Amino acid sequence: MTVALEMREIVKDFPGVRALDRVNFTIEPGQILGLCGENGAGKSTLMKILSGVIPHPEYEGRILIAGAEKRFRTTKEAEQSGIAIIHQELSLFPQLTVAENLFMGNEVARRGVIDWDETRSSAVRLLERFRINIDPDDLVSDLNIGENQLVEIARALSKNARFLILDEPTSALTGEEVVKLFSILRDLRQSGVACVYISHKLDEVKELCDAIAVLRDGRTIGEPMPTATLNKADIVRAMVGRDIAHLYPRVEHAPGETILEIKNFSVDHPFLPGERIIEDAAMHVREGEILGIYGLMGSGRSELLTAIFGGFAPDEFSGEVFIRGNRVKIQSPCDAIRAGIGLCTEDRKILGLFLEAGLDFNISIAALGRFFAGRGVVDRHRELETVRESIRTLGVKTPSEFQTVKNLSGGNQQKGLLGRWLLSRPSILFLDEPTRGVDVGAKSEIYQIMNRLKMENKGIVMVSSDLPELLGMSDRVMVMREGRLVAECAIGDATPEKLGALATGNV
Amino acid sequence: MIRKYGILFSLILVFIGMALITHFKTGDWSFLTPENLSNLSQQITQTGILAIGMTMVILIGGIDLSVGSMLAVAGITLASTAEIFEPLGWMGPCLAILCAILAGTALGAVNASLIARFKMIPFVVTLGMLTIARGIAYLVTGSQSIRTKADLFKTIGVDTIDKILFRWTHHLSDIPAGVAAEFASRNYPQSIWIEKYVDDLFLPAILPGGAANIGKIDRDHSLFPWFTVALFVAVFVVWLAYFLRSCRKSAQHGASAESARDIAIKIALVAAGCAFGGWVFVSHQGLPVMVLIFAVIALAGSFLLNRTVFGRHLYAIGGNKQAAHLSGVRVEQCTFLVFTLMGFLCAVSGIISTCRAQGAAPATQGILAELEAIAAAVVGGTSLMGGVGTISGTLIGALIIGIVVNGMSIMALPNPIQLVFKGLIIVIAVWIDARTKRGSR
Repeated sequence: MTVALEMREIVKDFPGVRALDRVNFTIEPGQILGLCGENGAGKSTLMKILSGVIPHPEYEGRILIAGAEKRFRTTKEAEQSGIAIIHQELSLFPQLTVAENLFMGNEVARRGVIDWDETRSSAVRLLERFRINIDPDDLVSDLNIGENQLVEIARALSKNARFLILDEPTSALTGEEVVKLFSILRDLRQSGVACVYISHKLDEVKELCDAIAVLRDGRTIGEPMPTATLNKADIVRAMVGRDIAHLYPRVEHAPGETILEIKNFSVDHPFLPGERIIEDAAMHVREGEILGIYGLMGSGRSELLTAIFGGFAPDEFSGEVFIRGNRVKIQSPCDAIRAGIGLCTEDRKILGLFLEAGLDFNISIAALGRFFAGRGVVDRHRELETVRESIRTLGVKTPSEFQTVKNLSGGNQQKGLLGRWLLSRPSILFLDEPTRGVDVGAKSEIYQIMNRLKMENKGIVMVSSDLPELLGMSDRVMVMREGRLVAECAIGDATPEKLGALATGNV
Repeated sequence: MIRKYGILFSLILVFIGMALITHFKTGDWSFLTPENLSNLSQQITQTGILAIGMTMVILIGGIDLSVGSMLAVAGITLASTAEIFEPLGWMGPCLAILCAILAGTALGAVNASLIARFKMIPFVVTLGMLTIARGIAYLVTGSQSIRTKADLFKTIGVDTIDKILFRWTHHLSDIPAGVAAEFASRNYPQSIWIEKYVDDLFLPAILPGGAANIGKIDRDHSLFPWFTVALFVAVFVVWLAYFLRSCRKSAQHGASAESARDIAIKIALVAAGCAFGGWVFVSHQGLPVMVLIFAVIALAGSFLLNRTVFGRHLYAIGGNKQAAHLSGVRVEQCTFLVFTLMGFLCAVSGIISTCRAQGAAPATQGILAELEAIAAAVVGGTSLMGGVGTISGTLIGALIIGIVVNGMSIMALPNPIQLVFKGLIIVIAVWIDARTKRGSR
C-alpha cells in the first residue's frame, strides 16, 4: 500500500472564512471513498487543492503520494501525478466536437500538427471502452447534460488517472446513466484506480463506496467509516451534527381555487423549423398546492416553465394562460412577474445568479422596480432592510449582505435565489430543480420554505429529477415525456417505478 | 483601506509623481499652478463626458467604437447649422445646439436599434458607424473646417460661470460709453472686450491702490469668483448632509454599518477634494462652464447607475444577460437606451469640443476619442466583461490619463513618445487592477 494518496493538516482560508481546518485524508488504490458533507463544508475546496486548481502556496499542509510530498502549482502537474478531477461545473467546450474535447490539452499530434484520423479512432476506442454511446463527431453543445458528464468522465480517464475525483457526477444523470457510471467506476476499482466520490445522494454513496469520510465546517469528522456497517441516518448525523428526522416534511393542506391554468401550450424548437419542444401542454395548479413535474432530462420540463414565464420570444410559443380564470398575455418575464409568477431557475450559476455581484443585488433585482422604487429611483435603505430580513428568515449563511455571491456555498446561493423570488411576492412560484447540488441541511430548510408558501395559499410548480423529493413534497405529480405532459397521478398512487415507467414510455 | 480607495490612491500617486517629474525636468512648478490644473480639467472634459457613456455601454457588456466619429458629426452639425441660422440672432446658436444634439442622438439610436432590436454585435455595428459617421462629417462640410463665431459658443468653450454671472448682473448696456469706445477703438473681439471690462471694473474694487494698479496685476487675480466659492461650499454641505443622513438611516435598521473611522476618512477625502478643486478654480477665474457641464453629467450618470432601477438593470445585464432577462429586466429596451444615450453624450462632447476649439474640423475632431474613452473607463476599473464599473472610477481614470498627457506636454515630449506612454498607462493600470483583484480572492 505504498502508492496511497494522503493529505495532511490541510488549512485553507478565504477572506473572512476558514474553509478547511487541519483536514486529514487518505485514499488507497482499489478503493472508492465517498466524501460527504453539507454544502460549504469544504469538499470542493479540498478537491481543488488536490487537483492543483488552488496552487501550492495558497494553502497550508502537505500532499503525499506514496510518501513523497507533492506541490501542485497547476492542474497539469496534478495530472502528471495521476490525479484527475471531474468538476461539479462542466468544463467542456460546447462549440467543439466530442473527440476534440476528449483530447483537449492532450492532443494526438506529431510535432504540433494534429492527427485527426488517430484522434477520431482513439475517441471511438475510448468511448467504446466505457460503453458510452456517443458519436465522437457530435458537437458537445448538441449533447444533453447527462451525455456531457459521460464525455467529461471519459476525458478524465483518457489521461490514465490513478486517482479519480468525481464531484457530484450524477446530479444530472438519469437512472440508467448512473448505473452505467457505477459499473465503469467498479471496473476502474478492479484495475487499481483510487476514486474519491463526492455526492449528496447518500443512497448512491452507500451503494458504490467502500468507505465514507465526512467533512463538517471544514473539519474531518472521525475516521472514514466502512459503508458495510453504516446506515443513512449515521451519515446524515455526521454531516449535519444532528438528526434530520423528517427529510420531506410535507404538510397536509386543502388546496383552494385553481390559480393558474394553461391550455394548448406549444413551444417551437429554437433551431429545427416545424419541430416543437413542447406539444399541446395543458395543466393547472391550485392555491396551496405543490404540483410536481417529473421527466427525464430533455423532456421539456424546464422549457415548459420558462415558456409560461415568458422567457422565450413571443413568436416562439403559443397557447392560452389563465390566472384565476382570466386570460393573460405574458410576452416577457417582466409581464410574468407583474402577473404574479416567479421562476426560480435551474442551473443557478448560468440562468439565475449574478455571480460577481453582491448578495443584496441578487436578492432584490426582480423586486426592485415594483417595491423599492418610486419613479425609477431606488430606496436603498428600504431595499437593504428587506434584503437583510430575507437573509435572516431564509437562514443564508454569509458574512454580510454585500458578500459576492460567487463566494457563497451552493446551498446559500440557492437560498439567495429563492429569496429573490419570494421578494417579488408571487402568487404562483415555479421551482426548477430547487435543491440540485444543495446539502441536506439546506434542502430541509428549502422544503420548510415551500411548505410555508403552500400554507400561504401560493400555487407551486416544482420540477425535479430527484424522485424521493418529488414524491415527498408534491401533492400531485405530472409526468412529461418528449415535450408532452403524458400523465397525472395523485400523490397516493405515485410510486418511483410508475413515474419512471411513464417518463421513459415503458408503460 | 488601500484596496477600497485603491484607484483614488493611484490617482494621488500619479498626481504627485507627475508634479515631481515635471519639476525636475522643467525646474518650475508649472504643473501645479491653478492655471494649468484648471486647463487640465478642461482638457479631460471631452473624453470624460464620452467615458461616462462608455462606462454604461461597457457595463452592459457592449463597446462603442464610433464615439469619436459621432462626436465629429455633432461638432460639424453645430458649426454648419450655426452658419445657416445666423440671421435668427440669439436663437441661431440655440437651434444649432439642438440640431447637433439631435444628430448625435440619432446616430446613437441607429447603433442602438441595430444592436438591441436586431441583436447584432456591438463591436461590428459601431465599427461600421466609426467610418460611416466620419464619412458623413466630411460630406457635410465638403471636407472643410468651419469656424464658429457666436458668443454663446465662446461662453461654453472658454468662459467661467463667474464671468457669465458678472455679465448678467452688470447688464452689458451699462458699460460706460467711454470704456466701450476705448475697447472698440482697439479692435478687440467682443469676448476679450468683456473680459477686459470685467477686469477693469473689478480691480479697483477689490485691490488696495484702486485703479492705479490695473496694469500691474495679473489678470488671473482680477475677478474674485464668489459664485465658484459658494458652489464648492454648497456641494460639500449638501453632500455631507446627505451622507450623514444615510449613515444614520443605515445604523437605524442595523446594517453592517460603516465604522466611525471609515465615515471620518470618507468625509475627510471629500472635504479635501472640494477644498483642492475649490482652490484650483477660485485661483483661476472660477469654474469653467464646460467643466460645470461635465460635472453635472457625471453626477447625473452616477445617480442613474447607483440610485435608479435602470442603473441596477444595467449591472444585471452585464453580470448575466440570461439571468437578467429571467429576472424581469427588459434587456432589449435597456440596451437601446444605453447606446442612444451614448450618442447623446457624443453630441454634448462634440458641442463642447467645437466651442473650445471655436470651430469644427471633420479630419481631426474626435480622432481616437473612442480609445481614450474606453481607456478612461478601463483604467477606472470598469470590466470589459461587463457588470463591473462605476462613474467615479471612470472619472478618476480620465483624470489619471489627463494628468499624464498634460504633464508630458509641459515637459514638451514629442507626440510619438506621448502616444507610447499613454498606451503604457492603460496596460499598466489594467495589470495592477488584475493583480489586486487576484490578491483579494
